[in-house]
Amino acid sequence: MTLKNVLEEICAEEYALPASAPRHRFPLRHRRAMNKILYPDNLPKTEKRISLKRRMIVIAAIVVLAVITGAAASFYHYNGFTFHKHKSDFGEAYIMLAENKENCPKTIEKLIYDDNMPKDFALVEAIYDKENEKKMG
Amino acid sequence: MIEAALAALDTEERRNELAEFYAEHKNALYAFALSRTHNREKAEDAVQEAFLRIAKYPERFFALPVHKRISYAVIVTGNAIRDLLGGNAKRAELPDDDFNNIADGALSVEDRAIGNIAAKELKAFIMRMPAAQRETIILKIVHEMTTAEIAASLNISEPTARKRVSNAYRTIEKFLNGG
Repeated sequence: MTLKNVLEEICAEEYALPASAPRHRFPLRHRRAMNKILYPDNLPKTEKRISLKRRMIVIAAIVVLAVITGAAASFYHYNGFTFHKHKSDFGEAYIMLAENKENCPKTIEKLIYDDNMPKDFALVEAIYDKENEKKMG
Repeated sequence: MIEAALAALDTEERRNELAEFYAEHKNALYAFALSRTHNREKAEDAVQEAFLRIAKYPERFFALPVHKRISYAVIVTGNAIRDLLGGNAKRAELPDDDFNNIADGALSVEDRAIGNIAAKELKAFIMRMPAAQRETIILKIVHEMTTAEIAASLNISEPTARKRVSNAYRTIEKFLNGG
């Protein structure tokens, strides 16, 4: 016998595994790790996970931006007046409101109208201020 | 870490072979690890770590004849257990010495003929040797690995592996010489 024979005997006797061992249910963590070790190609591509907090912040930012954009599109300020856009039966129209009525004259001193009157169109109707019964334009 | 280690398992055939080996022996390896650690989680981790080490350097595993793969897996698992339990830390800190200069296979004790009675005594003696030394000499002589391969399999430095081999050879030689 040689040292190698002795060591082979030790190997066969002391470093052998039983033919059957009680079945152990490995946890999911272990099974995932082993799957990663044995079949790294089969793993789904790693996606960058976004935390719930970050997702909520992004959604809130989108909502705020949408509100601001929508609001900006529906009205604007010009020359002391606020113009509100709304849809009528005839298309889009604007309601013009004075922003500051303090010290405001009770009479219309200046007629404001859209001078970009489309071709073949003319002003056919004037609106009256019901409170003062005066012709506005 | 796992992803980087597994580039080595390059063919589907090897992966399937290792997967089959794992499926066949995982329960027995777990039972072995549990008997050493007495801790379910650590035993599972040891099995996982052992297969990670095997997959990291698959050449050594696949170069072995099938009947030697089990003992190799048991040794690697045993070493992973010692790492997990911190048993290898002290040994790894031992300073290097003149054993570093001993070349692979340079010692004559390997070829010496041993009588049957002496073989039994030697076997008992080797079983009393520190596990780390015993397993290193088994990898060296039975599995015919180089010290570099032993170092990689046991996750130790090459000088440490060489030192363990040399220590084991000297201890055995001393025993055979009646010391």
